[in-house]
Amino acid sequence: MNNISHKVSSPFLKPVFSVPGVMATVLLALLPAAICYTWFFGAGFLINLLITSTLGLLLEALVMRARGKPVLFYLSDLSILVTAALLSFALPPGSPWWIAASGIFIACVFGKHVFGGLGHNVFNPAALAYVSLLILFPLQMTGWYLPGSGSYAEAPIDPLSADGIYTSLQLSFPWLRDFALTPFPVRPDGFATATPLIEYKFAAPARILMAESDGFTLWEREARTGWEMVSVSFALGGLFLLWRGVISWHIPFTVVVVVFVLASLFYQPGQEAIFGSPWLHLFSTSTLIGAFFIATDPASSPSSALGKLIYGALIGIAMYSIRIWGSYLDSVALAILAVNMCSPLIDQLTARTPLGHPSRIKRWLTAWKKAA
Amino acid sequence: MTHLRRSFFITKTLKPWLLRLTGKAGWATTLHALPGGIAPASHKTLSLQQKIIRMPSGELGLPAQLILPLRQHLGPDSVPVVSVGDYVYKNQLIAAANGEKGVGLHAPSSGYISSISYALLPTNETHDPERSWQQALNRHQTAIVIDTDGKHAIQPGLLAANSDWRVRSPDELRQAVFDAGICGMGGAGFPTAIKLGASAIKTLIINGAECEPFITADEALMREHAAEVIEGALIIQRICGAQSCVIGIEADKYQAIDAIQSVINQLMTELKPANAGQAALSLTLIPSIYPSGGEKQLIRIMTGIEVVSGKRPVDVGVLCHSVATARAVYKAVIAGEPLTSRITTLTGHALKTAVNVEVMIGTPVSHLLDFAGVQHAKLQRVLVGGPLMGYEAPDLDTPVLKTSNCLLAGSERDIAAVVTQSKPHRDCIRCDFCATVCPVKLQPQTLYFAARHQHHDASVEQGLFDCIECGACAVVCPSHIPLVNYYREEKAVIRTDNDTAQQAYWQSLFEKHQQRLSVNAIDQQQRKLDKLQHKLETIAVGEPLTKTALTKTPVPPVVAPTASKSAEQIKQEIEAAVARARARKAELQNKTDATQDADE
Ligand code: SF4
Ligand code: SF4
Repeated sequence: MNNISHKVSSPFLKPVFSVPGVMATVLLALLPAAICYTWFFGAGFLINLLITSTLGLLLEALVMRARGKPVLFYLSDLSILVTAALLSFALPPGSPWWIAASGIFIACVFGKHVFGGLGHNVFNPAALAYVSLLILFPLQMTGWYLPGSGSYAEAPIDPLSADGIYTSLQLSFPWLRDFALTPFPVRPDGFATATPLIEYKFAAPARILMAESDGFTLWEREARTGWEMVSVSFALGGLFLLWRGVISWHIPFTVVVVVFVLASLFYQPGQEAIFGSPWLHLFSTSTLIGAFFIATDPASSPSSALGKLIYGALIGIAMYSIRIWGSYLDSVALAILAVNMCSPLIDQLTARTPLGHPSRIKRWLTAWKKAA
Repeated sequence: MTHLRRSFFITKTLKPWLLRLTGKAGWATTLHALPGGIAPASHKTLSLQQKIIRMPSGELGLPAQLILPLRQHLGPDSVPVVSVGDYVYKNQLIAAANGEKGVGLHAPSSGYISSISYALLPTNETHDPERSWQQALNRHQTAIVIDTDGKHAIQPGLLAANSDWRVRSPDELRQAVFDAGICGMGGAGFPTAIKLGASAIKTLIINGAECEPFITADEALMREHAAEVIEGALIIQRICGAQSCVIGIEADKYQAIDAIQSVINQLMTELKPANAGQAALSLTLIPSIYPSGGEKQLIRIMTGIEVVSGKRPVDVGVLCHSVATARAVYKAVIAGEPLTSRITTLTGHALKTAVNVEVMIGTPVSHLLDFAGVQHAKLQRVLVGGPLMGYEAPDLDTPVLKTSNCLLAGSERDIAAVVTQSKPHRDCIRCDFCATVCPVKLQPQTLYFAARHQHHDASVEQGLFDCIECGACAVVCPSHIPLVNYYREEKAVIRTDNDTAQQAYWQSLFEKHQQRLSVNAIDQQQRKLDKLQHKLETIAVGEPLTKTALTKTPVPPVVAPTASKSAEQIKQEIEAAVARARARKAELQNKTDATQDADE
């Protein structure tokens, strides 16, 4: 007679998903944007990504060790890589290495493990790190030093050529300049501007139209449509996530719709400089990465569909308001952090009603009657 | 690479609607989408290749022993009416129903009763070391064991029932169902006769959904015995007085649908001129999504009625019976046959042949597995029921019960490997995959936190007891949290905490035990005292005294050792011991009195 252990109870079906699988899907969804970003803005992004990922893994291992948990088991959930990737998109390429390093430190320790690790974080770690960096190092976070920056540079360097990559390395690791035969000037003769993440608050050239009228195709660097194209690839990645079922449509949909509607309401042709056109709000800023990748962070967003709709709408309103009327440098990360704080309350108020229970309105009515 | 289907809009809503527009028969006029659900690989074709194999037949012989537990249903255990050594005929009553709410048990085949003792039953309880004593009581049921003689002899002189059920009164028919020992054959085993006694039933739903992967017992039954199922449904309809009777079948069971539809058509043409009232019998196709076959789920899909939490479907005028029960009712009423056999699916990739068999209740699982050619090298677990709601057979001598619709000999391909138990699960990442698939619209992730930390009020408020334990959430959870285990444990804890009668019972057992202990201790001291007293007396008479003389096993008296103490010394020692023992006894006595006072 074969005795079979009876320790486990149903269901016995194999689990379909896994946390590493989900995280890998998110990384895959970020791939097109990463390629696009590197194409337009040079190897600085990849250097940042490398720094944040390696350091992130290291830190995660250390913290897990310190918390007395199995290190490999928790490292293998890949969540720190997602945080690292999102953070790298937010950092200006060409910022010194310690910006990326302190960013991932804040994300990993203060964004995630202080709250109890993956799934317990109140704020999105990447957004928290980014906003902290903005406050701590405003100078480094607002200058964009690009090796080759289109028509602005005297002698444009292709950012992906050997020269361009070398320049990027010098930008990230300033001490490299000491060894360089042809040192890179301290003030890069590149292109310094407000980062696209920090929106062009009052100057809004209709870039795409301009590029087209100048006879460029949108994928040419000279067209200076880089950030628009990166936004489009974020949207593509977001649609991929929607199709895989990793995120639900509620949050990205409401964020995009609310931002678009608000922008259309306030925008009058001729006032681009003050309010910005709706298209600018969607594609020339970081609205889309926020809507698809940062606001949808499951741990810091509400769980019911209604809650998600409210949460998304609040983020959209906050984003637009901060962008137009606020005096902060960035709106997306700040808006998301602000609404993250409301998330537990939203969760509490919008918990969905199980079948067979009185509906929310009925419950409120009875509570009202009781109180009266 | 699989992906999470967050919406079954096309399957649940669009397709039924389009098909209805095109006038396709069978799609209900009002179909209500069930929230959530999953669509796991069905593996149903595996066991549908062959026709049902009957037992006993050339291929599938009778087992040497039939094991019939007294509790195969919800309700009080049946009471044995035979004793060891008796000869029983097939269909003879061997254990009577324990009152109105009980269910009788009949001999599936003829033979001698070889024992009435404990057997191990499969139950769906989680292993919980703190409650193992309760589980031990639940798992071990008294069972009647019949040594079959292979004659399959029917008791001489047993009359066949009156076959025209249309002239018999509903009460008479219900009595027939009660006498046949029928309980719900789909899952919980609720006594059918009780369910049929409900009044004010409007709609009768016959559940042919069978949504769990691998199981095809109902599908095979409908395919091959459609007429009996329909007749049984009509009998049930007559007993409960329902105005309409709807049979719900998942839309991808083509052969079963054809068979049922043709029987219904035939019936309609026969009945039309004679009895128009009987025409309220129809077939409804439902989308094939797990778990559309759950009782409340099916009712929601087919009627749109949400059964209020904590109530039963009969409270809203809906009665739901499975097709297997309908057929058992048919056999009981038409042929006067009690429920002694059922159709069970033998399936899984650890078997050489997967097939549906009609087996005697009480057949050991090992007998069936041997018949189907089990490959032990591939075998991971034997499940009774499907991979989502079934439970593990505690050992291979477990019998087939009235409720066992499937035996799944799972290979690693079918079910999670045995080692998964020891693997730690990750923390919840709040991805809400589980909430997306929950058919009851619970929030399994918040429920999980409440259940795990035993916040009883929060769990109940969040609908813990509405959870049907379908397992959909646990299957999609990327952190591989055994969610249903947590819910079951929490339910068990709350139930025991709430069950004051049960509590009082355990409390009384505990107190009795404590009392016995203290009484024993007092007795012990008393015995010691007596012994010492006796010693003192012996000294008083001046008998030669040695230590050995006082021991229990007397040894031949020896010459007092040179080092022996003086009689006076010994006497003093003994008196001291007496004083100690007295004090101890008094102390114990006081303690017992005190506890008794406290109790009072
Ligand atoms: S319990 Fe599992 S499926 Fe549900 S939210 Fe948590 S990790 Fe996701
Ligand atoms: S097991 Fe319970 S909580 Fe999980 S999906 Fe099924 S009904 Fe919902």
